Amino acid sequence: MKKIIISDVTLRDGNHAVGHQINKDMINIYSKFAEKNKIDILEIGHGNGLGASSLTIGRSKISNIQAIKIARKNLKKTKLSVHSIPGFSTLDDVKLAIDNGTDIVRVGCNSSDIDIIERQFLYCKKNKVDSWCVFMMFHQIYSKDKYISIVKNLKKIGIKTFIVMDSAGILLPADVKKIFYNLKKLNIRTGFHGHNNLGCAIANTIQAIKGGAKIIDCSIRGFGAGAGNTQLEIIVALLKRLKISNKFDVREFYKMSDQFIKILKNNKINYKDIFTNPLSISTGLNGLFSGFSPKINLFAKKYNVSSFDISDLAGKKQLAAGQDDLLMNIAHNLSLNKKK
Amino acid sequence: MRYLIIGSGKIGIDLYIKLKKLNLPGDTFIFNRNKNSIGAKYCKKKNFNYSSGGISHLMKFLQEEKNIIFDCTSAQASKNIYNKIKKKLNKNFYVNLTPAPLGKYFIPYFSNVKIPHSINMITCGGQSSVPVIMEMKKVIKDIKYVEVISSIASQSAGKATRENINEYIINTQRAIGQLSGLKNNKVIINLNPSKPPVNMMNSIFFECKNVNGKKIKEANVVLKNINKTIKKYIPGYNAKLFYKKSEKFFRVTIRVVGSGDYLSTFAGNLDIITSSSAYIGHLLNEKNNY
Repeated sequence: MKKIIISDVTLRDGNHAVGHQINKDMINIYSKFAEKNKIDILEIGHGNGLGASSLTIGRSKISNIQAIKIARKNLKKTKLSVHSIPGFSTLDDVKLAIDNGTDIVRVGCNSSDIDIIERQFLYCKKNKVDSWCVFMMFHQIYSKDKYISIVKNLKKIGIKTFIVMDSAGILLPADVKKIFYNLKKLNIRTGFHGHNNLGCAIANTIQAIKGGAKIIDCSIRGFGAGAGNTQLEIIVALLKRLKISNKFDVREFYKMSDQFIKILKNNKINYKDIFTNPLSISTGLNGLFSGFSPKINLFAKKYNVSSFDISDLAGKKQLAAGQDDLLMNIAHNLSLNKKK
Repeated sequence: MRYLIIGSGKIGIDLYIKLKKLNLPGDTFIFNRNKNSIGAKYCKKKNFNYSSGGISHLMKFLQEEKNIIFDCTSAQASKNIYNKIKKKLNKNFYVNLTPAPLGKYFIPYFSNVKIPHSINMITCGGQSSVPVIMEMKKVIKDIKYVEVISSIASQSAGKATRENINEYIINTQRAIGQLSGLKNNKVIINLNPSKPPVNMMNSIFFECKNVNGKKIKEANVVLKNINKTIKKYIPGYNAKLFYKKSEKFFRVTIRVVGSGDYLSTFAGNLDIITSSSAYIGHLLNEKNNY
């Protein structure tokens, strides 16, 4: 039986879906669930990771360190991971996260500029903390020559685990199949993080598993940025169906899935159930970071312009995660053009 | 006066060209260690006063004449360089263009101060946004938080910039806190991979207790003066204010269209720091205060 590691990003990527409002109680309830149900890894924090809570991106309800502390108390077998993008985060943020009990630091950024993760990785390595490379916006390095040479270079500094993150939800099953087929030859541990903008998150994840991915990012009800992530309860059921893993009690996952919206409501967290709404399809097609959707909606309303126009223009400029201020500019300029 | 540049990366070469363009009295030289680097090859091709003798060759220059040393290496490398030359700084000037915490912060916008012998140029984000933050704080008393977001084109970020993202954030935050007194600040930097590259842009968010039309009017007057003054030494500098009614913050964007000396015009982030540094050469000549 293949050993598949479930990495649950509900409390991190999910933060994108609720304006980073996940609170203490949510973390308490969900981390207990993760521990009890043998989830291998639970990721915690602001949607954009360490150091990202800000006026531009959105302020989180509680600090990353508070969040880590609460989860830490509830996790024994389940490992605790954080997401870190250099540029938002500094080495001090990484140090604080480690000091408060983080097991795995997943350092990522836009795939085309992935070399900027090296400093943080080397810092973790020096401090003997497991650190992975997360290729955010993987489609930026879609051509084989590009990602093979990048992975080879990162292997040289000691990175062993690589996550292919389809931040835009633009990849199709045939793409994922090819990517993992090529990565397999490099003798590295790989993982996949899907988004459902074009409805392919589950199909992509199955292809990744078949191609040798060991780590699968999922979230309950697909709770995550844009059209959401690979749905955890479906993956657990599929692992059974594909005879890959029998260790999960599927019923427990159904139960959490059933209760999840109610738990959010009880915690006064405003959330519209995930399904692929048209704006998420548009950002997917445009290869944009899924987390942009709420901001695009907000600026479309504020400046009284079409959200699809913003999405198209942002796609043309290849905006990267974090450039929310440029979304504001695009909306502003669209409204000026409209007046003319 | 001679102008000695150490480091032949994107910043070093751009600065060399800018210094030459200013036509200051005295020669300009550029040093590095690797004679096969892209920068070194460019220097040779363009017939620059170039040496691959590195810091040890540069040290020989310090025996005679007065010099300004422009450190265009990386935050890590500059510590070594500083330790070697610090004893020679009574006669010479040291301008650090890396984000290392060395030297006193200096921004040519505030040119009515004595120019320190050891200068920390902060970062491109700091150099361009700190004057705005300091001037805004003088007229708007209830600013409680400031956030600076820099977007630069991936292609304009050289090796040292990529390795120094950590120092970039720390040094910019520290400079904002120290110079404006706004310790409650945050700095974010994003690299943008788009092709063709996008022009660099900084956004400064000023969060206040409340914002009203009167304040925005005053802020716009301030901004007009800043633009006028900074354009003297960064010609492509343009700061603009954005405000939406009922919000408790306003935003100033700074765009710098580069003069396209070494990299194309999108790399205005380079121009901020190289133009400001070259202008120090001009100020020192003008003030004759070395």
